[in-house]
Amino acid sequence: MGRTTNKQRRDQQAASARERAAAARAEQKRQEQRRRAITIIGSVVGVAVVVVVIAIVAITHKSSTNTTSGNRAVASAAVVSDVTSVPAATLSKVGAGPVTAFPSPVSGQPPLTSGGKPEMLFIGAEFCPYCAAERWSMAVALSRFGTLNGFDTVSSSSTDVDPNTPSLDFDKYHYTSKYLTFTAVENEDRNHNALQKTTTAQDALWTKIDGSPSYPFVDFGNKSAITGPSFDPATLKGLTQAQIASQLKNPTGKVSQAINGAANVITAAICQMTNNQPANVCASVIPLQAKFGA
Amino acid sequence: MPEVRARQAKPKVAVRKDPFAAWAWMVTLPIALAGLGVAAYLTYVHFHNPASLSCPNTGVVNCLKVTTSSQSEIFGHIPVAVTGLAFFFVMTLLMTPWAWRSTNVWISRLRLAGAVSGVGMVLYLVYVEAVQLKALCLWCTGVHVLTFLLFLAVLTAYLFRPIDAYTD
Repeated sequence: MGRTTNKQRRDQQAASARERAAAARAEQKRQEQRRRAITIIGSVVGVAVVVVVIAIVAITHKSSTNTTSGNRAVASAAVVSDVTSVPAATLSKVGAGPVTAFPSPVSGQPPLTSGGKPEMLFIGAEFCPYCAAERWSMAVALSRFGTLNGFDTVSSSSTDVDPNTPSLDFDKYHYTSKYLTFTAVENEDRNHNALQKTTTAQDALWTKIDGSPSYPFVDFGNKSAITGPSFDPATLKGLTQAQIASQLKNPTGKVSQAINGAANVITAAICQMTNNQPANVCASVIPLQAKFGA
Repeated sequence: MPEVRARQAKPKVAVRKDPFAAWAWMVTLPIALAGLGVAAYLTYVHFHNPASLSCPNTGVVNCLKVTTSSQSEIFGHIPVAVTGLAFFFVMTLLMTPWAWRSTNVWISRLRLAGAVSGVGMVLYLVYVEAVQLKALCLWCTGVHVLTFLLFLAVLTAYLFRPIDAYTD
């Protein structure tokens, strides 16, 4: 009585060993699950950290851009809307406005086409103040024949004449129209660095029509071409893109007269390419075509 | 007697139940299919009319700016939308019940490698959108979220699936 036999002792030891083994296995399983959980959480945290770093870089980068007057930025929805929806009534009232330089006729060249449609080719540069002024009018005119969007805003060089002329930027854009194809090449950026290359064919055309290639150059399907400023960029001095865009619907303002006047002239040149289609757009600008080459 | 022989000749197939494979494909296949659908839509729009993309333009959110940017094509030739479509096509195949039931460890590794490379690409594209283009495309962001969710599910499956589920 009270004494454990050898057999009982062996059984107790075996049971104890089994419990220790089970405990070790359970601990190993817990550690394994902890390791897996840490891997998953670590992956989530790692991705989150990278995203946060990207966000900080984006914000910092944006701030430095804003401190440099007139660099490229996304066009606001209001600017896009104001520029691409100038009322036809406003444009009719403005006519040619203060514009005195009209497109020159192009002769001896086969029609310029792309995608089976007449092509309007713009070659410009972000630093160029005359291009800065011209883009506003081109955007207004092109929007009468199709849908233009995806463009940025930019200002011309701060060290050139008419410094920091506010403008739109066609380094990125999207244009759809059933009447014409629009091709824009922004050859240099605001600091005269190479931006977008012209093709060999575009270079040849630019040289042939312009003589001494200069910005801006706008070829309307090889029917006519603009090789200089349509209005004085100083008209836009001191204004922001938003202020300019918001004035376009007013037919009497100085800014509206200049931009919409040039837009009507460009519209007339486009109508020459499209055989005056669509009629509802071209009817009001056909008289301006008589002034081309004057 | 011939009937008895026929019954005896019928081989016995050992069907191993893998409940893990069942929940894995039910979670991952819908994500992969959703990604495939969005990627297909973005590819269609890329080749037809990018302007028709259903997406607001509020300045920062600007799908058109993103999908028509020079960064929308890898090496200037391969549309990012097409690479997304190819990615989700392969991932959809790897998320099918048959693929999940496979005991080949290399399928599991390929699935994980695909998910990791997908997240890597997503991080690069987020960088391009946020830093270079300063514009976000909602559809692209949708694809990014789906890719990340797929990565999480595949990683979880890879880590928690019992080792004895593989034969190789």
